[in-house]
Amino acid sequence: MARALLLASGRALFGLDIKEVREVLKAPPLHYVPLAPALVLGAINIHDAVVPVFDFSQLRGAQSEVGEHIVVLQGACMALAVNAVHGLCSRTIAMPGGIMHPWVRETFISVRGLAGLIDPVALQQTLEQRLSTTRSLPAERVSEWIAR
Amino acid sequence: MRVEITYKFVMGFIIVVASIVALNYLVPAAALVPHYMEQTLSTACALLVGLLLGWIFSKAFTANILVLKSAAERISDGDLSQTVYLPNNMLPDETAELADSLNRVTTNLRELVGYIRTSSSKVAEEAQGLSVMSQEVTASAHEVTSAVEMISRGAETQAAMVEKATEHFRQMTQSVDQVAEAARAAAGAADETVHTAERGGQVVTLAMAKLGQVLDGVEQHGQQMLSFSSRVQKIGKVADFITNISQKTNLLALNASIEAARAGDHGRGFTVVAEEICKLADSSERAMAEITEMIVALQEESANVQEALKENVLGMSSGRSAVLRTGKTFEEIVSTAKVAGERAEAISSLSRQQVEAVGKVADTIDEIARVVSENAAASEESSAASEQQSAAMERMALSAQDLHALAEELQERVSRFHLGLKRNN
Repeated sequence: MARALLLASGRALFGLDIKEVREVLKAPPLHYVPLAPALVLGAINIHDAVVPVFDFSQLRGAQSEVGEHIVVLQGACMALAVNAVHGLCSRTIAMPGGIMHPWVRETFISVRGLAGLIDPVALQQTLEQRLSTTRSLPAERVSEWIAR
Repeated sequence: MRVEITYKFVMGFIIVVASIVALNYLVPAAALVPHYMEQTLSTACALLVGLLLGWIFSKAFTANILVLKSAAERISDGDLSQTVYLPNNMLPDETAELADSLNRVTTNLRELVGYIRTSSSKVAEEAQGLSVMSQEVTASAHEVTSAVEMISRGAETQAAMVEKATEHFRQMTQSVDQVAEAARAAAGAADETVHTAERGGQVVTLAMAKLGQVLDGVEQHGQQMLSFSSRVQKIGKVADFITNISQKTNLLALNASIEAARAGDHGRGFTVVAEEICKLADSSERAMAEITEMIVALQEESANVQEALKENVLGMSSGRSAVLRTGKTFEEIVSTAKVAGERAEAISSLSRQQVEAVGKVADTIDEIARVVSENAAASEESSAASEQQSAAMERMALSAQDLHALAEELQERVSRFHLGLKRNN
């Protein structure tokens, strides 16, 4: 039976296949990245590797929240700042298709309720798309960021 | 030349007789009538001549007597204004002397009547004045009588008021006696108050000592509560530390589970161990959460107890100050009661002096009452005297009126005498 790491962002529940998770950290020292978009909270150092940290709440289109835990993904070189991590759970009665977001692969029933299983590849594509949109901003916006 | 009237009548008779005799000779000589008629004619002529001469002589001799008669009648009628003048006074006789005597009588009467008239009018005036004066004196005597009566009534009122004043003074003496008695009682009460307040002060001193012990105990409890609170805070810090360790253990177990899951079948046993560790960490976290809640509750309780102790200490302090104030108040009561006792004693002695003074005043008022009674009697006597005087003056007024009436009657009587030019009233 497949197992997943259960995450909480706002009032919504999400799951990550355990094989896609590399490590869970609690409030590590976060380094500020200059000129980065608001989606990028900063960067952390994991075993001598610099990994960008994304705000999962902003990613799903909600208000930015204080993330206590940071989940480092295995394949893609990135980390997600989430509200809480509820530990491991078994994925029972998995239903294909996303509920609201393109990066949700399927929906399953966890011990804490209905949760959407995150597809890391689709998530990485979405992030790249969002970041490229951000990069195509005009020069005056860049200078405005610098001034800010 | 004075010729008495007798001689005058004799002379007249002689002349009449001589003329008759002469006629008796003349008629025959004239031969006017026949001889036989001569006797008759001579007789008739003698009669005529005798009657004529007799009438002329008697007229001439009695003219002065008529004048005197009319003068005497005037005088008898009261007319004293005219002097008697005899028209035929060639040969003065007794009538001239009578006329002189009548004139002197008239003059004397005139002077007498004038004197009587003047005197009677003066008497009438004086009587009038005396009457008026006596009336005035009567009125004054009446006024004096009424004034003396008022004085008498005033003296009676005064006597009554003095009597009342004496009564008031007697009542005042009784009141002052009562005041002295009350002041003595107040002095006794003040002494008792002093004793009671001294006992109260001793009780307050004892209460102060006990309260000080209680306050010391409460302050000691407060210190113990403070140390207890600080220890509870230390326990809370240790609990926080343990909670942190369990959370980290939980995270480590989670990461270990992830690592074991990635190891596949080789890591299955480790997965079980990691999950057990994870559960242990969860249970220890929950227990620590309960412990933390209990510690928080303990801290709140100890804070409440500290607050209550502070309030108790404050209340005790205010109680101590209240007891101190009570002690001071008892001391003030003692001093005030002593002063009150002294003053009550002073009031008592003063009121005794007052009783003596009031007795003297009462004696003086008795003397005044005696004098007032004498005054009342004297004023009654003077009232009677003035009434007698008033009656005498009334009698005098009546006498003056009688005198006036008498003078008027005299004047009336005298007024029928006419004094001629000298009459001036």
